[in-house]
Amino acid sequence: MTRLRPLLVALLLAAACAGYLALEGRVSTDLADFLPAGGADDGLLLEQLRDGRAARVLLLAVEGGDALARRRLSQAVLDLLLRQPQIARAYNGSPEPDGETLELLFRYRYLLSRQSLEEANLRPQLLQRLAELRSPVAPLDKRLLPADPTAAFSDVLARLRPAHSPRQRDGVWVSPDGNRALLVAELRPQGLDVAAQAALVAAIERGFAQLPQSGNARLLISGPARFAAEASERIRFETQWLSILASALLTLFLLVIYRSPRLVLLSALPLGGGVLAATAVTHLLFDGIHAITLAFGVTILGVAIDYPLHLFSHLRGRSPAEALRRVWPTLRLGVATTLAGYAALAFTEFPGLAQLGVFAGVGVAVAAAATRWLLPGLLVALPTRDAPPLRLAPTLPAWLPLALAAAAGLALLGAAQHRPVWEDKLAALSPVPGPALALDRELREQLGAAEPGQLVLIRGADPQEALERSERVLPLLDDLVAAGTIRHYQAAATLLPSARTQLARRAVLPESTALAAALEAAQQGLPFRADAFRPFLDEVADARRLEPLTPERLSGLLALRLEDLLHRQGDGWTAVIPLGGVRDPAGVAAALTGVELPGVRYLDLARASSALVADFRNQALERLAWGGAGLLLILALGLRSPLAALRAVAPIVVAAAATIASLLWLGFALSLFHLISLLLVVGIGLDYSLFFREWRYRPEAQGATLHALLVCFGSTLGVFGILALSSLPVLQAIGSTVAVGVAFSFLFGFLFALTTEQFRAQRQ
Amino acid sequence: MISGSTIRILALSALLAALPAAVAGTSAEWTVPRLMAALRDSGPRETGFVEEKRVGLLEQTLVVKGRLRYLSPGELERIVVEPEPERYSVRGDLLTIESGKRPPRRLRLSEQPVLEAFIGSLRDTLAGDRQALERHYRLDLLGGREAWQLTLTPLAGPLRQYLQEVRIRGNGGEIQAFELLESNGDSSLTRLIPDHD
Repeated sequence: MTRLRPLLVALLLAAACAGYLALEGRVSTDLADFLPAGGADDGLLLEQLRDGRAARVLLLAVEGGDALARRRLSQAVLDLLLRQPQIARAYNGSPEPDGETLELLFRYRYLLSRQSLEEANLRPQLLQRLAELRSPVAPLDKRLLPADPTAAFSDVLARLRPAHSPRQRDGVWVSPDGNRALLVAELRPQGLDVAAQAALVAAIERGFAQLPQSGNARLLISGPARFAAEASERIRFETQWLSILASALLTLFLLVIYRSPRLVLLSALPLGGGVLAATAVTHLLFDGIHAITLAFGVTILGVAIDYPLHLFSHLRGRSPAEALRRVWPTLRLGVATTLAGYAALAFTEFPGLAQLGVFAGVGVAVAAAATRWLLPGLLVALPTRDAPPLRLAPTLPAWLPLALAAAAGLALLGAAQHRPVWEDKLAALSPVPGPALALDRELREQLGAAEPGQLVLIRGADPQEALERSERVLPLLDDLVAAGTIRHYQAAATLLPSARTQLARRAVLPESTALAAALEAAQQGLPFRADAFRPFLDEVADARRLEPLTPERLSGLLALRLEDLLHRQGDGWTAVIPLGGVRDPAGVAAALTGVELPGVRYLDLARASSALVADFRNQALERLAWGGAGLLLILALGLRSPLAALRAVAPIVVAAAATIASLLWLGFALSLFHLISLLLVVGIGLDYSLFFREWRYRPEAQGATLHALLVCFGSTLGVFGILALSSLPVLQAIGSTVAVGVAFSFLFGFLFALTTEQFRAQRQ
Repeated sequence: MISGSTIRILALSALLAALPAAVAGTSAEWTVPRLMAALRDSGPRETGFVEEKRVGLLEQTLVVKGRLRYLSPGELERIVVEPEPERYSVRGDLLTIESGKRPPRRLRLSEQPVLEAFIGSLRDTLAGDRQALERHYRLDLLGGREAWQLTLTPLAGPLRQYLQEVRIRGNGGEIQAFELLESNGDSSLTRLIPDHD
């Protein structure tokens, strides 16, 4: 009965964890939960990452069929889009401002337009109007002439028109070559919820397939939501297949080695229990668990596969209790050092890393506990085999460890000189394939959509301050457009000048008699009737009494467009100027920082997020350095000698250096995932090193220990080798780092152990 | 047996029966399809033009002179010589306006339906394209082959706000005058002056 007590306790705990998770379990897929809250700047960055307008835009195109079919499909797709609750707005053609807005703009044209009504400007304008009257298209243009001889209204309208509007035919947007109908949809702000975005894209595609006219036409969808959907699909597909393959391989391997299905089944207990406990505890501490934590956490717990294997390899001709006695002291030390490493992670400011640290720490501890207290009660001794224990005659020179260390060190230094060391670009970790990115660029260009990552942000205490500050920036942006550094931009201040600017314009509007006299002078010699421009005089007089037009008075389309570009944020207002066709981000940054512009910031999301990743990484490195110190301390205590601790750690350090050097020489730059994998390598490698040490100093256990080491190595190599085959950069990083890392760890652990004895033997 | 006199009577009747048809062939009704065919058959041509515009805002009549070049259906050019050199050309969907020192304005007719209909009144008539004309106008034809007048009245739509009527006069497949009557009372008359030696 006492044998089964651990089992009952374990089952009770497992049930508690499972029950808790089943009732309260909440897996978050929002990337923002993984990233830090950070300072004000980072807040801005995150805000744009999650809710930035460009991040919420979907670009669509209908291809195939004939022009008429495409036009009908364009309408049908528009209806389909507008029926989706997650979509706030959708367009398939340039929306015209409504009559009410047009009237408003006409009334305010003299405050909104940059034109001057100085006497000197009147005559050239009148001459121009006369020339326009001679034109064959005059009948369509001339209705506003009596009230607006200086064409101020068309100046206002020109500024309202987006700089880069797609071609329009029969009322719908088409690509420049006419072969595609184009649409744009905007999602409601709702954070980076990948699952919801994937569902939306799938719903649109289904809806399109069900349209009666969709016969031989295709619907292309692009945009961040689409990428997220596709990425999550690919990730799910690959992780599913790779884990099935890896599990199958592992099971087969263990079956061949131990020839006991019962053992193979039992080997899963520590890992399974570790995952369950880790999930429950992390969830409890962080009020939820992130999907990324789950995915990587389970990977890092790969070290826990080794624990039962050490136990099993010692079962030949021994009772489980005896086997445990042989294995546990070393195992315990290995677990303690691994915990030191993970604990370091748990204390970072990054919620993601902290979760990972807690998850891995708890998982490892529980897996070790299960191996110590649960498994022995469930095992039986294996029959002895007649195979002789493995013996190796050491014939390695004593300077070998130093030589290997030197070689690894040089390789690493050389690699660091010639290759980029750190991979900070988030784009490099993106699983989106090249052709999809190319299509996105193409559609973005054809639709004149801004790039999601290039913005100028302007803060102000109220809308007017934001507008005024924007107006100071506009001339700089115009220069950049003229120089070709950027292609276009959209600004709220272009749509609606600040109240101050409008008042300034109002102040210089000539008063009636002066204007009448100037007009008469300008009309000299021109065939206009003397009273032709009476309406103009009246309207300018009215304009001199107008109060500035402010954002709240706009409605309809113009109001929507303004809201996109100028909105309340926090305790102030932000004007957003999306930039399109940015060819030289450094040039933009230089232009905007050269001048004194309070409240203006250029945000290059790619560079900002790289900075964030670098920060993330540096924090992780710092913490890991502390973890390393803790690790050494525990080792020194456990082995009762600092020197022994150093000797145990030496092969792992060299192995880590060799692994990094190999990765760099192969052309990989190190990302955060490589770092986390190296942590795993160190954990596993240290276990190898300690057991190789065992192997040396306990000759009677040599065969079993070596057997265990080989099985651990083989299984880890197999599982992570399969991961390295993935096409997803993240999984490939983890797989290759761990596979190469354990190979080096095993090799160096083996060699260093041999030479240590050799060294010792020589001295005696 | 048919006698000789019977044959003569039969021949005479046949001749008499054919007579109205022959007469109809020479003085047949001048219909829109025939006009369109004649216009189509005229092919590319180039003429001078003089346009007189009466605009309510102006005290005088504006006079514009230049050359009109019709190259093919959908390709039309109006080159102004007096008072200022200008050039308006239509190539398919694209209208290009070059006037003075200002940069050329380019407009896509497919994006401006009213403008397209407006230009179509001349362009489609020159091309003899009845279908295109009837998309925007009601056609009424008066007169005979040598002196006809085609009146285009805009169908319901935004065009009606600007245009009341277009009257085109000509002889056979040759257009001689083009008159525009606008809804606000303005009008313009363009006379085409062929290059005869």
